[in-house]
Amino acid sequence: MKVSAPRDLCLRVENVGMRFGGLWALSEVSFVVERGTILGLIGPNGSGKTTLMNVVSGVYKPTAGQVIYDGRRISDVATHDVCHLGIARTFQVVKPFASLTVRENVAVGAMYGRLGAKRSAKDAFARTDELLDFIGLARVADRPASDLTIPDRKRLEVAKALALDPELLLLDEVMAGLNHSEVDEALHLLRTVNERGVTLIVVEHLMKAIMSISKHVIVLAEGKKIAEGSPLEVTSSPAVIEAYLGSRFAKRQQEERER
Amino acid sequence: MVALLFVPSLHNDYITVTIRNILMFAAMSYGWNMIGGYTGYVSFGNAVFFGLGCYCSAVLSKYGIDNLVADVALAVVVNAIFAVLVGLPVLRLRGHYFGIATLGILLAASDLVNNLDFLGGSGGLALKQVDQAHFWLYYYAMWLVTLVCMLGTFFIARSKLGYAFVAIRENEDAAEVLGISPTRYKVIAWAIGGVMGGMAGAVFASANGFVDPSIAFAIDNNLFPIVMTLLGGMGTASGPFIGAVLLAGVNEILQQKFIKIHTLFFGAVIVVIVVFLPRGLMYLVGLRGGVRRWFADLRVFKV
Repeated sequence: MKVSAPRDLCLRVENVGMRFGGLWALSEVSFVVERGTILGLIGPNGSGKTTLMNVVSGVYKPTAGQVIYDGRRISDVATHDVCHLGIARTFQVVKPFASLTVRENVAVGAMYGRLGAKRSAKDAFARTDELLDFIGLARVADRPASDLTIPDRKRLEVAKALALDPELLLLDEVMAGLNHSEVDEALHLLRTVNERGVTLIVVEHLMKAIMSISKHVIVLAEGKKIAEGSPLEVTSSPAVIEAYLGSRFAKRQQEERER
Repeated sequence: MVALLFVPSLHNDYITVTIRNILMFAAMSYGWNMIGGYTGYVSFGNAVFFGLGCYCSAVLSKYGIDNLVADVALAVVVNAIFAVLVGLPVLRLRGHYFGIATLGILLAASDLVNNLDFLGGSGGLALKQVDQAHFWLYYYAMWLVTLVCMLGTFFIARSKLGYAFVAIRENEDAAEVLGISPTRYKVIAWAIGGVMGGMAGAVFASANGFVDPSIAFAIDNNLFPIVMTLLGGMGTASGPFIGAVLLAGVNEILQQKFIKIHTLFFGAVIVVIVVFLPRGLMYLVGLRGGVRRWFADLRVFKV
């Protein structure tokens, strides 16, 4: 089914619900992502961020609602075909192919991604070498992926996703576990990727990181969207403060503000 | 492999047949390696392809066609079709269920052939009398089949196809998100492996001059290739050959000297491999960092 969408719209999530047994991990989540922007997605533990990423990347088929990307319903598309439409994602728990080298890991993406069908194995490796240079993994290109440090594993996860030549990239907590300077490097990298024309959805725990990179933020709590707006708007929203810090703290802050 | 070209010139039938059997097991090991070694889907029923190959030759012989090229060609086509038809439902299964299903396929095929009069039932089918003067012909046919399996594996491992197989083995979810359809590529690997086993079966049946279900679907044809590939190195292009030569060679000697306990040997080999060499001998060849690295990796495998 073709659904008409304005040209600058990249992704439309409509009333998405996801049920596991008796639990609604997501309910009535709606938002849109404009092409070329960076959307931040935050929320406390267990709020449904990763579930939402799984729905958007076609790993889960939503129980209710629909996800429309580029005028097509993602829920009608097989998981392995979603990346051919131009959506790539990273996993929060990184999933490298441990016995392959870093270079081979990334090359698999270049072979089977959006432009993979047109590439020979040799072309895929050439594209891989460009990417490894760009992302800073060239120095460990021929090491097995299982040997990498945590920051390098995160880089590899991003490199694999970029090898798919995505138009929309979903980043699931790629900055978790990194120290200050590594986070700064990661932010710089993501900005560069975005400047090259890739739309980003960045799921993150680190408020600070999200605030510095995206102008538009969505907050999830208990599977529902509780706030949306600029970083400043959402952080001052009582619902968000309550979700993160509890109702007593939110009330106290409200009273202080009124005083 | 090249040295083995000169075996028939020794004019010793015992040695020729023994080495032909080793080559046969090598080809079957390559077949198992494709699905078990590269995609990581452990099959317990790959002998079904060997058996199917045997019966391709037998049926052609029944209709008066006794030509090794025709035998192998038919086995390739039949096995590829069979593998795709059976693989499409079975390879949708993930993990261990596949192994159990393959065992079921083997038992079902064996029982079916046992009861099909067209294929001679349990009494088997006789092929054309083996031509003793051209005994070497079967040897070279088996040599060629093994070479094709070996080179095929070598080139597939370096192609896009090979990377899809390994990606599925290493992490099926991650492979899927990178655009690889797990079912499609598992079926391709299973079919390529099936064709390899089938070619070996087709040549064997002609060389043997007779097949019945207990020969075609023998438990050894199922177990040996697995152990050989494990020993040599799963997911490598040389592992199955090395494993087959070592294990079949040692087995032959044990069978001569200690007929009663030689089957015990395979059990012991499996235990030793799984504990000390989970990646097989080829892993040791490529090992950098000596014994320390080896033990470090062993710890990783235990998880």
